Amino acid sequence: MKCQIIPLAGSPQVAPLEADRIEPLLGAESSALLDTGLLRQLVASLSSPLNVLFPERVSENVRPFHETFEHYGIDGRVFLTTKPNRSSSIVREIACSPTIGVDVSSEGSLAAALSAGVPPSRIEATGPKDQGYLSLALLQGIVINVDDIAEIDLICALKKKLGIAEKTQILVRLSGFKSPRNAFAVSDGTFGVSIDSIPDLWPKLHAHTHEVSLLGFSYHLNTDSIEYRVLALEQTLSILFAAKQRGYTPRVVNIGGGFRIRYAKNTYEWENFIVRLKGSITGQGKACTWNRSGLGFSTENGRIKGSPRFMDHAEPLPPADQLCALLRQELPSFSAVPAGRLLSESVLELWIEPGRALLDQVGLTVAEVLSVRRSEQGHPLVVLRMNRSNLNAFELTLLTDPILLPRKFSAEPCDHGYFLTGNLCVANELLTPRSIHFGQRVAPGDLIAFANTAPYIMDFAESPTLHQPVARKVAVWFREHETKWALDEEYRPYLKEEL
Amino acid sequence: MIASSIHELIGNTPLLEIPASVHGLRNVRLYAKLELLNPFGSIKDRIAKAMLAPHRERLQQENAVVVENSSGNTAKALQALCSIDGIPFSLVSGLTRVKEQKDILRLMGASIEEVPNASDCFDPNDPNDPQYALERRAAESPNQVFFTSQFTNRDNPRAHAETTGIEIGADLPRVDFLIAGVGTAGSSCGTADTLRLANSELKLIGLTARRHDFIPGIRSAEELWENGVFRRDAYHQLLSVSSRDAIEGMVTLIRRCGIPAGPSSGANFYGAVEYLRTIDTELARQHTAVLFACDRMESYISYVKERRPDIFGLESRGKLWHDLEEEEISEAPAVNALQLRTLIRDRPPLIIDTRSTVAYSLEHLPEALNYPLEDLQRILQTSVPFPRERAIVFVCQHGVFTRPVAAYLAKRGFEAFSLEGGYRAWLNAPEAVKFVANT
Repeated sequence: MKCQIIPLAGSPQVAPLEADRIEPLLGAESSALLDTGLLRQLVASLSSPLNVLFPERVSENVRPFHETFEHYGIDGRVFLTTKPNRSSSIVREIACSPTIGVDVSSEGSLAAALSAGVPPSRIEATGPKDQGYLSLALLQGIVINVDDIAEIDLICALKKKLGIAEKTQILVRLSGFKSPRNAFAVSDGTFGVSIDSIPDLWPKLHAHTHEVSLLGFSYHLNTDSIEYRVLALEQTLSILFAAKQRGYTPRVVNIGGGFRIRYAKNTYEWENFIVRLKGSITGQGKACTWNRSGLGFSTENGRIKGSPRFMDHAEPLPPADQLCALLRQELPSFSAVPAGRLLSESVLELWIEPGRALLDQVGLTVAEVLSVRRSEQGHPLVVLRMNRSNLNAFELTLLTDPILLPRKFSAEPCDHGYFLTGNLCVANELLTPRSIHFGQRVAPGDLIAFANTAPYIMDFAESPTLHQPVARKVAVWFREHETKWALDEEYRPYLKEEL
Repeated sequence: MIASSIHELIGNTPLLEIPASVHGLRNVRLYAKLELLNPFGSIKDRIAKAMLAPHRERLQQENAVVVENSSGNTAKALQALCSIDGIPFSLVSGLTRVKEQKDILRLMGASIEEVPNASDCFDPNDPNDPQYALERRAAESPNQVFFTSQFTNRDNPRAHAETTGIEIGADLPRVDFLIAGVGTAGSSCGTADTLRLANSELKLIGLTARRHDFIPGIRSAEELWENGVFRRDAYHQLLSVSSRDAIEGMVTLIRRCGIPAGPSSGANFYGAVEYLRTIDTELARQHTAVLFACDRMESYISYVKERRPDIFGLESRGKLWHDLEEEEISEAPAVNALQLRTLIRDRPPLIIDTRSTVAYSLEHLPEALNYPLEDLQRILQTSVPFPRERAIVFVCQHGVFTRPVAAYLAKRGFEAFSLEGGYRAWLNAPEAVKFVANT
C-alpha cells in the first residue's frame, strides 16, 4: 500500500497519517538555551547547521558512576571513549575534571587529548595500533590496552628503539568468553585476545617482565545481556587471579562501556511508536514512516523479521543503575558472591569506558528552515539547511521529535505532520523517517533543533566531500542567569572564571 | 483411573470458580482453568503433544533431533514427551531468566544451548536470535532437525481450539470474557476461536508484560509482532501488567484460592479483575469469565524473591552493633599496617579476615583466619569465640566494616582492633613491612 496523500490543513478529505509524538527528553541546559534568543543569533552568525555543546554536563553525567563505586566500596575510574567525538571543548573540560579520564583509540585522538591538556596518567590507549600511535603512547607513559599478544613484542621493540626504560603498564583486552554453564552461539568479533590464547600470554609476559607490567584485564561487550556480562566478568576475574598466582600484580578490571541512555521523554509514546511501526509493516495498521520504511524490520509470512536501525529510545535504567545491576549480580563460579562485593574485597580497581552515557544531553543540533513544500505524493515537507550527514550515528536513526523555534510568534495552528528533508541533491534525503507534528505551521526562517545529538550523532558521518557546510560547534555554559558561549575550538574551561 | 501413557493425562483440566469474596465482582462469575494440573505442570503440555504427534513416528525412525526456542514450560513438556519416545531434544533459547526452570530442564535431561540477547550495538546479522538460528538450522538439514517452532506452528493454536476450547465449552454454555496472557498467542487465539462458535460476542482480553519488565511466558506488546500465531484482531483489548502486579495476583491465587500458581497465572488473575472491574457495574446480567492458571509456583521462588524479598523475610536482619553510637564506631581501636607488623613480631595477634570466603581464599594476610562478616555477626549473637588474653585484629577490604566489630568487642573487654585502611592498606604497604610480617 502506498502512503496516503495528505492535503494541507484546511481540506481534511483524506485522513492524515496517525498522529504520533515522541517527545525528546531534554536536559536542563538544552531547555534553558531553547528559551533564549541566543540560538537564533548564533545560527545567524555561524550559519546552519550549528552544533551546540554543553561541556559542563559531562561532569554531571560522571557523578552517578562515582556514587556507585562509593556505594560498593570500589576504587573506580571513568574514561570517556573519544572516538566518535570531534569536539575539543569536551576533552578540554575533561582535562580540568580530575575524576574523568580519556580512552583514546588513534594517534590523532591521543594527540588531541594531550593537546587539550589531559595528563597522560588519565589516558588509556585502546584499539588497533600502528607504530606512530604506539610510539606516542609509549613516550607519554600511557597505559596501553593490548589487543593482541604480539602487540607486546611490538611495544618492547619500540621501547628499545625509543630508549624508554620505565616499565609500560598494560591491560590485556580479552574476548571470546565461553561458559561452562551455557553453550552460547557466539558471534565473532574483531577485538581482543581470545581467552583460549591465555596460555600464550604467560610466557610472553615472562619474557618481557622488565619492560611491561601487567596492570590488569579489560573487555568490551556488544550485548545487553546481563548473564553474558556476568560471564565475562567472572572469566576475567579468574584470569586475573590466575595471573596473581603466577606472581603478577594486576589490580584493574576494565569492563568497557555499553551503558545505554534515554532519548524519549515518555515511555508510552515510544511504545506506541514501536507497536504502530510493527503493525504498519505487517499491514495491520496505518503507515507511520516515510514510504512505509520498516527501519530495519521487514515481514515474512506476516511475521516481523530483522533488527531495528535505531536504538531503544526509552531505556528505563539510568546508566549508573545499569552498572549497579551488574555489580549486584552473584558470580556463580565465585560461590555466588555479588560482583561488587568481590571487586571491593579483592581491592581491585574497576574501570569503565562509557561513551554515550557521558555525553547524554551534552549537545543539540540546530538548523534553519529553507522552504516548505510537498513531496511527489503530496506530503508536506520541510527543507532544512543541513543534511543527513550532520545527523547520523553509523546508520542508527534518531527518532525523537525535533523542536520548532518559530521566527514569528503568531504561528498558525496546523494539524498535519511534516517530513524533514535536507539539502543534499539526492532522492529520499530524509532527516527523520517519521512525519513530525509540530502543532503549528512551519515557515522559512524558522529554526528546528534536534535534541541530544552529542551522543555520537553529530560527528560520525560529516565530511567535506559533500561540499556542504560541516556544522560549526559552539560550547555553551550558564553562570548566574547568564548564558555564555565560545566557539568550540576556543573553549578553555580554565579561562571561564576569573582568578 | 489407569492410564497407559502419560500422553493421556494431558488436558481435561477442571475449572475452579474463584469466589466473589476474592475478586469482588458483582456481575461476573470468574473461573480459573487449572492448566497447572497437567502432568509436566503447565498449559504448554497441550501444544507439546500436538506439535509432536503428527511427526512422532518419522522422528523415531529417522533419529532426528527436536529443537525449540523456549526457556520454560514448552521445553519441559517437549523434553518429557521426547525422552519417553527416545527422541533427542535440544533447547536453544535466549538466556533463561528463571533459574529453577533451567535446573529442572537439566534434571529432565535436556541439552541446553543458551544465546545472549540481541546486540545493542547495531548488528543486522545477529547470529544469536534463537528463532531465526533454529529456522536456519532446520532449513539446512530438514531430515535431521525438527523445529517445533511454537511461535509459528499452527498446531499450537489448533491444540487449544481442539482441546482447551472444547473442554471449557463443555463445562460452560456461554463464556463472555476470556482473559489470557499473550506469549505465543496460541492459548488465547485457539481457545477463543472455539468459544466464539457458541458465543460470537466473546471478548478476548490479551494481557502483555510491561516493556522492560519480565513476566515468564508473557511478551510485551511490541514483541507480539514477531510472532506468527498472534492476530491483533482476535483481541478485544490488550492490557499490560507489571511483574509486581503479577506477583500480587499470584499470591492471591495461592493464599486465598488454594491455587498453587505461577506469575503468569497471577498476571491473568490481576489483569482479569482489573479489566472486569471497569465494566462490572454496567453489566445488565450475570456474565461468565475464564482465565488460565497456566503453571505452578515452585519454579519461581528466585523470581519472586528477587522482586519481593519481604515475602521471604529477607532484608530485615538486625545488626548486632546497632546499639553503638556513631562516635564509638568512628573511635574504634585500630592498628595500621606498620603497627600490625610490630604486633605480629612481638606478640602475634589473632587475625580475623571478615571478607567473603572467596575473596579470602584468593589472597589474605599471613596466618589470618576467615570469618565472613555475616557469619561473625551470627556467631557473636550467641558467644564470642575469641580469647581475652590475645589481641584480635579484624580485617576487611577498606577498614570500614571492621570498625563496629572492634568497637563492639572492645566495649566487652576484648583487645580488639580494626586494621586501618583494611586489606587495601596492607596490599599497598611497603614490601619491608609485609616481609617482616611474613617471616
